[in-house]
Amino acid sequence: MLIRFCLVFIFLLSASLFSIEPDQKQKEFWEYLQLLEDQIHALEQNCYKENQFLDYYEFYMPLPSGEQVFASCNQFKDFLIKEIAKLQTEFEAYDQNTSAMGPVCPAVIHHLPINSWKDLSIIQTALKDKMLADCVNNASYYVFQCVRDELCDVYASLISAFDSFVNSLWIADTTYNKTTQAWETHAKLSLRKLLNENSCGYKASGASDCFHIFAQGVLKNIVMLLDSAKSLGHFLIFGEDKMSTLLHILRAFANPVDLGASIARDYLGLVREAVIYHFGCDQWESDNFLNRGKCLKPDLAWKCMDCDQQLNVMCGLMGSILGQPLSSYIIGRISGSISGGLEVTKIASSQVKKIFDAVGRGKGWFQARHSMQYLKSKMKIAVPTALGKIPSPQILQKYQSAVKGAFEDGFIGGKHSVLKLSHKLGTSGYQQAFFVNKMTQHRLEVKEVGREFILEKFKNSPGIDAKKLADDYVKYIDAVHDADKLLDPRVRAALAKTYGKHLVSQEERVAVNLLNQLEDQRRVLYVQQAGLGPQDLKIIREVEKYSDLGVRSYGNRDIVVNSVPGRYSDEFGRPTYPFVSNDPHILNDMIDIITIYRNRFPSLVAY
Amino acid sequence: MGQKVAEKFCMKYFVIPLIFFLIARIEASTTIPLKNQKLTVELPRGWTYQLDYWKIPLAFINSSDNLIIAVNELEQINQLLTDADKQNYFTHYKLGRLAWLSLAFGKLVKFYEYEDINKNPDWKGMVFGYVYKLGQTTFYEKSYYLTCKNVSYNLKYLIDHSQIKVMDTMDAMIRGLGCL
Repeated sequence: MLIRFCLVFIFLLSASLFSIEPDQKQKEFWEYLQLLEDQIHALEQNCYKENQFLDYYEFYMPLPSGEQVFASCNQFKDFLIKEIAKLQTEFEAYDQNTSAMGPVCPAVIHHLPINSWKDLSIIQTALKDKMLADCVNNASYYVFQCVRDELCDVYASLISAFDSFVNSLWIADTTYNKTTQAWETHAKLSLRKLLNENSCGYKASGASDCFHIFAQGVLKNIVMLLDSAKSLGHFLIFGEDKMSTLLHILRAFANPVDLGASIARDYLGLVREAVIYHFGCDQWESDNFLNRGKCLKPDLAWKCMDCDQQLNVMCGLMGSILGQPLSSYIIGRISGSISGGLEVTKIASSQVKKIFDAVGRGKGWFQARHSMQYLKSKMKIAVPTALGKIPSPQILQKYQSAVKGAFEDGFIGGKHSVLKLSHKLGTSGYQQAFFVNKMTQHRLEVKEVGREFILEKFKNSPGIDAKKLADDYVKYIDAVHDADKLLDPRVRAALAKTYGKHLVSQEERVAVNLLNQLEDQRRVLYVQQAGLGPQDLKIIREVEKYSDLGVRSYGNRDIVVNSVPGRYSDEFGRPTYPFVSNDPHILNDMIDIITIYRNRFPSLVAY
Repeated sequence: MGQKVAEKFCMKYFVIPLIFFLIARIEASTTIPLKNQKLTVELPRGWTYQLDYWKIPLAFINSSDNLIIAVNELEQINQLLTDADKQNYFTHYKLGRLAWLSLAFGKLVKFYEYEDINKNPDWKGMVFGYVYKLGQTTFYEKSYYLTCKNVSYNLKYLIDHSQIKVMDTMDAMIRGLGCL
């Protein structure tokens, strides 16, 4: 009781403090919002290609101060989502206290031609916002009461998103190419044939490309995308995979169009399931997405939408579902590990889970956009004039500490990216911290992947206690590879210099050898202390070796696309050793290790 | 009389087959215009070729046996690859295939050792390949990286265990390619 009383007191006190300078505070909110919006814009510029979100693409993000931060698109997206949510919470708290503003209609978007899912998401959020407020208690007519005419236009353009339904599944588009002076025919995949007149979206018509994008996404995953000649290294990484998949499809299906149609239909069905799972309900009976049970807390906004509007939520997610989840689904289909239809087999669940996860991740982004719109609509009244594009020093500071915090919080997310930049610019102290961090991250990955591999591989082996072996493995890795135990700063400094290098100098080689020696000593010491048997030790060392190799080879780190593929990650300060094994058992273990790595650290896997 | 019989015999059993043989020879060597150069190929019976086949720039097709050799043009491969370079590429080939198998829930049977192609003075390069299982079916894939007069290609095919007999035909076809 006392605590509650105190809380109320503190709350009131802070409220009165805030109210001293409400304008200043609002100005700050607005400035920060502008800043975040600029960053979102930069993200959109850098991370979208043909409407696909490039999860793993890394780029230099310019900070307003002129500095640059190196991060992957995923990391920046997550950071921005987090910051927007925080800003929204802060603003709402402030808003409640001052309560100077009544409810305001969402900003209406006037540009009606829908060119991308981003447009749709803006429209969608505007709709959803409105519905959240009005639709629960009122008849659907009043949904559009506030800005009815504009929203009617918006609604009409939403419907137009389903234009491609009206066309036949495959349409030939013949155009005259002026450069080659020839008529060229391109096949386009459309989804019309996947629907009948009772289907949702059937009657919609207009001029948009949302579903067309989806259809093209399927098509692109099936046929080659190598537009021009590529280098040997590039073809080894990208071309081989694509050709394997395509050759399988061409063998198994007389007409790949049939396969394309059936994959498009089934995949869309799964995405729809995933959308309902993530958007339609706030709480399910069970956490398992496959057997989720009944919906305990339906999402009212979703319930309010009609079928076309719900389809448009799916449209908004195209960016998230057209990348890796789709290609792994397609390979699963042609390899026979996933059957057609919505029937979900046990083996298939990891690919299906990927689709669900992608939609879940898309939702976060969706909601961030939503918050942005929401905040803006409110602040437009609070701060009627824009304050210009250059934020004040305090805001910059706030932003920079937020960036730093976001990457330091990130479990494996972005810490290394910020440090990577520091490494390039920084002092030797930075470099050492960086090196230790890289080693720590690598150790974590090797540990996790190896542990799961042991549990899986030896679960039914007579005479081996898989659980104990896995525990021993974890302890062993920690004991031998813990970089924090590398106390000699000279060794650290020398090793830090070797990071990311293919070839190291003579002196650096000495440091690397020193590290190897140190770890060998620790290894001997640990084996004596722990009393590991020779058989256990042999298994542990092999798992260590192949997990290390797997993590180095498939980790999304230093990829040189246009020359020899340099897929290396030298977290231990040691260049990657060549992969020489020809033993199919070891190579198949490697496949299991990649699979575990892929599932455990999806955002880090390059392939 | 005897001479006539001999002539007839000759026509029947030698000249006509010779003509057919010649026609077959002429037909067998096909010239295919590609972006940077022309390729010549001796297409065995049942084989045809098609340009821009499902976005593959050139495909050799045997539709009755359901076989395809896909040809892609590449940037020129350095002609002076050392053995270490080739081993390095082979390593990346292996790592990439393992990653694909991981996605497809496949199992590896074996990798073929990489082989240098250098008998034909025009054509130089190497061939990688591997054998794997998807479910109950065993598949064989080979990937040739070849350079002919400063233009490089990748040629790739995929067969299953029931088609293993045609592997030699396909390998011979690829190794018999010429360029103009």
